Order: sequence, then C-alpha cells, then structure tokens
Amino acid sequence: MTKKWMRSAALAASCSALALTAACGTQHAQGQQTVKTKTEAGSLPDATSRAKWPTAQVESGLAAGMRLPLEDYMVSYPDEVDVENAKDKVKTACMARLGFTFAPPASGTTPALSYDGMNMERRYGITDAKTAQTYGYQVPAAAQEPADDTAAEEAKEGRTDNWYEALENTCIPEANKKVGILYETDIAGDLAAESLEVTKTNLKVQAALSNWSACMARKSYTKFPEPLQAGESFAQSTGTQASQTEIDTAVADVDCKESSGLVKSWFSAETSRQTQQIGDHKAELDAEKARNTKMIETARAILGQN
Amino acid sequence: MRDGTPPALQQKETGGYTLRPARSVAALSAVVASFAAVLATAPSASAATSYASDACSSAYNRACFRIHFNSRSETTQLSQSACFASNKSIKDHWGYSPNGASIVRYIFGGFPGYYTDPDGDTHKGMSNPCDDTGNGQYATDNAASAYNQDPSHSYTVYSNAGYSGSKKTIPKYDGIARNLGSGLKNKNSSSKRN
Repeated sequence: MTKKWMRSAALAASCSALALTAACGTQHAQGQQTVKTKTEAGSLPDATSRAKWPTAQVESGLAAGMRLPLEDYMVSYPDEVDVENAKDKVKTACMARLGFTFAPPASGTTPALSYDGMNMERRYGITDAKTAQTYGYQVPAAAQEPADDTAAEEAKEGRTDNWYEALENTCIPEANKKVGILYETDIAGDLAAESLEVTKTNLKVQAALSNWSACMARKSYTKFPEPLQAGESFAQSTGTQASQTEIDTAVADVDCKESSGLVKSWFSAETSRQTQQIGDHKAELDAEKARNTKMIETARAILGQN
Repeated sequence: MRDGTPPALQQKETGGYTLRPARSVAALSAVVASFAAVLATAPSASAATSYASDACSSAYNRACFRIHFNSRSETTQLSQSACFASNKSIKDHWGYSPNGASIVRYIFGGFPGYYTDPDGDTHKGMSNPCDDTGNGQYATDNAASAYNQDPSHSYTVYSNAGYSGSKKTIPKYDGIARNLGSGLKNKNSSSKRN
C-alpha cells in the first residue's frame, strides 16, 4: 500500500491523535484530498459512530459529573478503540500475507455503555430517572447489540482450521508484538472493583443502603436488600422491553437512591478509598499508565499510516 | 460460592447442528466418570429447569468468550478449567426464564477439542478446550478467570446483573486469559459483547 497523498497522510496522522474531530471520521472524496479512513479490515468509526460514544462523565441522573480517582489510571473508550483497531489492522495485513481474509467489525462502531472501567452510570445500579421511566433496568435500545451475525462473518472470512492456526500462531502474536496487549495488567481496574466491594461496609454507605431499603419497602418493594440486586429478577427475563412492573420498580429505585443519598455517600466513600489505594500502589499504577500511554501512541501511529 | 450439583442435562442453548464430539481416549474415561456422577447426584430442581454451558454460536465453538471456574495457569497464561462459553451479551449469568415456568441455568462445562460431523469429517474445536474441573458448577458469582477466543468482539464482565457494578473488559482474542481481580472474582453476574 503506497502513500499516495502527503496531505491526507498528515491529516490522518493528526486525526488519529485527536481521535474525536468530526472531520477525521468521514471519507471526503474531493479529488485528491481523500482522507483515508478505511483499514483493510473495514471502516474505522465514522463521525456518526463517534457521536454516540459515551462522554468522559455521565451526563444525566444521580451520577452526573462524577469521576473517581482511579479513572486517572484507566484507559478511556476512545483509546481502547484505537488500540483494538490498530491491532486489527496488523492482523488483517498479516492474514492477507498468509493468504487469508480477516475482516473483524471495527471497534467503536457499536454502542458502548461507559467511558472507562469505572462504569459510572451503573456502578451503583441504575441512577437515571429518565432511563428508568423508559427502559426500566434494561439498557437503552441504542445500546442493545445487533442480531447474531456470527455465521455470516465466519462464512465471509472462510474460516477453516488453517485460518485459525494462522491467526493464533502468527497474526495475533504479531499484533501483540507490534502494538501491545490491552489490559495485560489492569491494576487500576482491579483496585476499582475492590474499592466498590470494600466500601459497602463503610458506615455512611451502610446507613444510606438501609435508608434505600426502607424507602423501597414504603413503596411496597420489599424484596431487595441491595440496590445492585434490584434489577436481577428482571435481567432473567428474555424480553427486551421492560414490563410496567419493571419500570415502576426502576423508577422507585432511582427515587429512593436520591432521597437516601446513596449515590453521594458511596461516591464519597469510594473517593476516599481510591485516594488511599493510589497512595499504596503509586509506583505500579504509574508504570501501568506509562505502558498504556506508549501502547496508545503506537496504535495511533499505525492507524495514521496509509 | 461453590454451590451447585452436576446437571442432569447439558445442551447447546443456541441449537444448530448436532455434533458428536470425538474425544481422545484419555478424556473418555473422565467423561464416563463425570456422567456417572451426574446420574448419582441429580439436582432436586423443578422439572422445568435445564442447564447450559454453551451459549456460543461460533462453528465448533472455535471463537467464544469463556468464563472459567478456576484462575488461569501462571505458566501458560491460559485458563483450562470448565467454562461457560458465549458470543453474545448475557444479562444475568444466573440464566434466564422465558416465561416464568421454565428456567435455563448457566453452568460451567467441559468442551471437546475435536468434533466429528455426522458424515465423519473431523473439525478442531476451541483451542485449549475447557476441561471438566468445575463441570456442572453454576456460572454466576463463580468465575475466577476469563478467556476470550473471539477475534471479532471484546467482552466485558460485570459484578452485577444488567451490566451494573464493577466491570472488566477482555479484549478481542489476543492469546491470553485474565484473572478476575478480588472485587470481581466469584462475583460475576453479567457480560456484554462489545
């Protein structure tokens, strides 16, 4: 693949660095100013896809604007997308070299539920009254995955035992070497999961949890001792549309979270806890972040190449 | 939690073609032994409960997202124990109930390394197939590691049903398994296909 247009190559390089500029996403066929946004594998996320990405902070509901300390050490969704797409680009070229078709769907083209590993929107269960009113405990329709396309994709790629052998023995290792391994360690994520678990026993969180339960009981929803379990029975149904019961429960859930101050209390407890964790694990967190930064830079350089 | 007795039935919940796994001789005795255990300790669940360790539509389960009973091996960085395999989002690792009367519970199971078609052709199954350690254990709140063999999608594991609580994203197939950290280990309740 030759570099045909110096100007478009420069634009592509700066676009991958910026990652979010609308101009970077779409393919402009204006004579010789074509911005190359297609990898061999398929289209990179265009402006329409990028517009649907989660924002760095939750925009509505009780968790709006909240950011926890360990997020400073987490890989953001746009960065994760770039790393995966760069690796796919390497794998695709490698498979082609070996005589195979590899055409995975580009990362960043299906809806994502959160900006990073903290899962702020749903960390303490549902927190958005508007979403609860429409979807109950279900994720919004836009975030539900498409129908199973596995057979079509496997047929398109003509997968055989040899295909898998090439991918597993040559092309995956090649991409790992050229770009890196995403979440090879996930110290930030592991600590964050620990933080959520441990802060459940925090006195203020316990008090707020009791208040939440009492509030739910007053509304006649007595079955849920814990907010994170409130949606469970509904998750066992196979429908994608929430029943009225589910919606009513979800609306009550968010309402009680507000009156009990649960989200605020838990967020406060986690902020303290994670600050402490960062202090205790500073060296390894910094090292992990440095590795991630380097990997993301490498990925962007690969995506910027024509 | 390590509850759950071996299931009376295991089925591929997504249907599709019927395959006869071609097991190696060494694995065969393990299969016979575990089947005997199944007959001896049938669960006292309602008659409408069935069990599934396979929610993966990939041909021969070649490209599935696996969550495992045990942690990964630190020498190979792979997970070998019984697994629950999927290639779609799972709202609740407990399982599901289509109508309230019947229930499908998700469990860990062993998977064969090779399948034999009805016409005699052999096809390789998943690489590093899940063995029988933990076979029949319920999948919810019971996984110690995850291993994604799907090159088309990354998957995210959550501590609570409906994609709530803590999360851990497992990237597109990159050849290594990952342990669930202390906040997620044995606390897995849902997973999303990305």
